[in-house]
Amino acid sequence: MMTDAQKLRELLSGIYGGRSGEIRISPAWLATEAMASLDPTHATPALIYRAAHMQFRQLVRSLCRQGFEEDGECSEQHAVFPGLQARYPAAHSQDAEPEYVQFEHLTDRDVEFNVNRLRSEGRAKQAHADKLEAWDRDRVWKRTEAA
Amino acid sequence: MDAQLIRYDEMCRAIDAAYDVDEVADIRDKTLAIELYMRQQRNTEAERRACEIRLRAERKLGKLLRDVDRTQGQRTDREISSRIATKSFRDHLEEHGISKDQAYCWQQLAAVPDAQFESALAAPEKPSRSGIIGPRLKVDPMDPRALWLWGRLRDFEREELLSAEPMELFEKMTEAMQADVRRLVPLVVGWLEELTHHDD
Repeated sequence: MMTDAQKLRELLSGIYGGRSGEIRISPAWLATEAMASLDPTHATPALIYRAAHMQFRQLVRSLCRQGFEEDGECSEQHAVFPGLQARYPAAHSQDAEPEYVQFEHLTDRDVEFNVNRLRSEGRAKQAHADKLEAWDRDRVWKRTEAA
Repeated sequence: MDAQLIRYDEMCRAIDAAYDVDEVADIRDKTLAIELYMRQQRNTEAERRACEIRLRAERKLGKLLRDVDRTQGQRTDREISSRIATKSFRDHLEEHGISKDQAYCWQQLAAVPDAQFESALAAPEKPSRSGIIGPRLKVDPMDPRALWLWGRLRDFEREELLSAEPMELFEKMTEAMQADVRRLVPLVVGWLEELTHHDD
């Protein structure tokens, strides 16, 4: 028997699947579609509706971030750089809700936006790891010096 | 016959009867979503069923797209599925987010003889497009170390390290860090030197 979480995922996967051929997908719009099918009369209290909508948007984003579907075997680019996503967020301002664009249809600006975004996230983690390791190296060094 | 099997037969019949790219592309997209979902759920039987329907849909799409491809630039007074001819090959690809590579693969799938296709679907192992049409020319994936080296060399430019004073940075390190740098720099310089001998 399916759990509630599985049912929700299935609902969203179905909506996403129906639109998977579209070049641009808006997680907010898909979340609204899912909410409309769950709560057609809009009977849910506003705050709960908002929380559920946010969670749905998050789930759609995770579907968008998935790697290539099996068709990947058809794509030479994918063969050289495995691990690229089938969709990336389109370039957008910080407060705007991004649409996810199919990999093949990314503009130069979209690519630059995503490269900068990923690099900035990666740089922050790399710096964090380096700091922690340098601190540890220093600690061991001082301990050895003292001995 | 259980409900799933009836649904499977219905889907196969719908694909057979369809003559419209939109219709089959819709079936294919939905089936792919189900296939991925069933894989997540580790329901291998349902995943395989969905995979078979997807392959049938892709084969049909290959046939329809091949027909569209052939009708481009041909006389239009013949009755070669007027609904198909209203849109160009490129229109269909753009409308459904189909890449040229996918269209090519599906057309190859459409060229496989019926008996060969059906026997691939009936085989005990899960069918795959490459299993049916044969693997495409293999392209080696990028070596992650090559990608890393390229990315880090580009970092020297991005972080403007090439215009910074190395000794100034070195002096800002802890003793332990400096010891690592002293040990590694000669090795790295020697290793990178190899690249400067590369000429083309």
